[in-house]
Amino acid sequence: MTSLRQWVNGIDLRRFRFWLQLGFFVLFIYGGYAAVNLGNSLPTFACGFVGESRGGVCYLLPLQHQLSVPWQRLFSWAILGVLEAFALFALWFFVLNKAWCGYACPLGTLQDWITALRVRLGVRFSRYREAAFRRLTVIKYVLLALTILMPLAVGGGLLPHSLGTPFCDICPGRMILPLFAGDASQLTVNFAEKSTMIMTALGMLITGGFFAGAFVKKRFFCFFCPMSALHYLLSRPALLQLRKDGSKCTRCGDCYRVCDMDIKAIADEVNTTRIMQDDCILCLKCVSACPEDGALKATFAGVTLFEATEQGFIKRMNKGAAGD
Amino acid sequence: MLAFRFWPVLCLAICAQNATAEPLWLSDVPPDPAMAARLHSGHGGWLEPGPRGTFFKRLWLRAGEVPGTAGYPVAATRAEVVLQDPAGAHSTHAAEPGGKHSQWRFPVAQEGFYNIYLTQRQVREGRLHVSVAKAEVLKHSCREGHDDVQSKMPPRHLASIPLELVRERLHKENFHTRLGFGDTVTFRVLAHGAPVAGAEVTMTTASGWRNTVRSDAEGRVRFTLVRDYFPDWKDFDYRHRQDFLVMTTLETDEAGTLDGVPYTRTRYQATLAGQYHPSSRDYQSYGYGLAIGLFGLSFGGLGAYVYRRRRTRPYREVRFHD
Repeated sequence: MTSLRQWVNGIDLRRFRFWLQLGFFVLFIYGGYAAVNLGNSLPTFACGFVGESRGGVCYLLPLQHQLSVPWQRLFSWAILGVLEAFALFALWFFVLNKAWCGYACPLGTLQDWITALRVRLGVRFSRYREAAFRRLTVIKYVLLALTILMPLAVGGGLLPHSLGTPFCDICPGRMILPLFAGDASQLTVNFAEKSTMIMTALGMLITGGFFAGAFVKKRFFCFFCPMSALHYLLSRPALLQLRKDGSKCTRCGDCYRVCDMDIKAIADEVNTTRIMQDDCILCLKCVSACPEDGALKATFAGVTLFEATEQGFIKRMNKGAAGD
Repeated sequence: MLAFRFWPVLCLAICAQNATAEPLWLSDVPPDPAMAARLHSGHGGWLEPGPRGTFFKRLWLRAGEVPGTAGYPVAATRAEVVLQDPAGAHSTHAAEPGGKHSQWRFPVAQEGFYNIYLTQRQVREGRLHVSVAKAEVLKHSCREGHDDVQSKMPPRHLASIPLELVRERLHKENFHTRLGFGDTVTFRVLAHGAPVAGAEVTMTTASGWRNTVRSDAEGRVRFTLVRDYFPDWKDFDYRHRQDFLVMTTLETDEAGTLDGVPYTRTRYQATLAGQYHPSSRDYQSYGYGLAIGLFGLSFGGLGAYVYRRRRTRPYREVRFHD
């Protein structure tokens, strides 16, 4: 048991994560070809626009659809469908918590691949300044609010029907992920109505910005992702958790340096064990880069799955795999 | 009737003056535009919301070869209605006369395509006229999910129907597919389920454009849906619905009597109405899309570069003197 634990704690997380991400990417983009269908309530960007090859659908698409029905219907029997879908979403989410972002999200995986390309090209990455970080982190909550309120306004007749799925209209996942299934039809501006023209043009602009941003900033888009905001609102009772033992922390800052999301609190906070922040994608790179025994750990239903050890840190350092 | 889950709010009727050579067909477009405002627009056309999340479909009988000007006949003689649900089960109902317009209202509980056939028989000038008006109605709600859609897509027919038009599906067609300008649509002509070769099939668009072709050995005919909608750009509506009517006839020397009236020949006429919309190619632009995407990429890249340059401090030697 001890040797198994040592083996797990000494794992090359970067390689493990790469293969797991690739597996999820294939599952969500091509799973349909193998008759895989994980439903319409997945807590990750398994884009519904991918077509018949997809292995499941991101929850935000059906959520917006459900909320955009006329109020009279929504606030009667249709609310049951909304609650059912949300319950399914929550059940999926409680298993992996925000690791859905760090391990399963196809758009996140794509950003990690772009980062890998940047590293190969020898271009240095960017970080947000502390003040910018605090300002920008609010954007995802604003987007989440709009993702919910705009379809509701459509249902009330306050906005045109074509704004029924506003976030999908601007989500770069809608433009990019179907390309992997051979569908380029989303790379268009739709001139059918003013609202569709504005939203699809904005979507293409954001897609261009996505590539530019993801090249210089690790997990660029995750910072603005409304799904991440929704995750955080539900993350407390989830099974997979990130814990910190502040008494063992030396505040060396390694965890902050490897963090794709620039979360400074992971290094600074020593008073609470619940260290997970709203921007965290639970990639566990911080645990992997921590040299202090038991200072950081990932637990599943209270059972430690993976924890920081000096031995594991040294092993990864020798392989050059402690973090990038 | 209820056992068949078929509610004849119906006042079907095909009156004597309508029992002419004018083709009969079925449409879900209400005669009163104000009524359309009360209907729910779904993936398969108009639906009527019912209690507790149920939906009903309402169809009207139309008479006339040009969909844009076809009337809504009233009154009836002898007709029967067959409803085939998405599972393939079918039920037969006698049409009931009465009402202002001939219409049917039936619940659509299952996801998929319903076939509705109205068959009318009448002897005129020693010839039996059998008119089969068919409608293929889609019921789909995204709330029901999209599992197993492909198994529900294949078109179905009924061997008991004497003459029938069946629309074959487009490549990769699903419940969200809308026929558009420029699409090539294939129909099959079937008589009691068997293909009819050499049958003349005519497609008529809303404004009266018409094309007639003969079916091949497998009973297939193909039509390209022509653009029949030329508004000013400011009036352009990408949801603009345009009806088409496909019709075929078949003459045989079958003889007999109908209600004691003898006939020496039989003429079958089958109709199937459909709808199509402006093609997405009319209002979606890859050129603008890619140009804006490239602008976002260039602008974002340039912005990141300039930001980094401005934050780069030039090297300056600092000497400390203890």
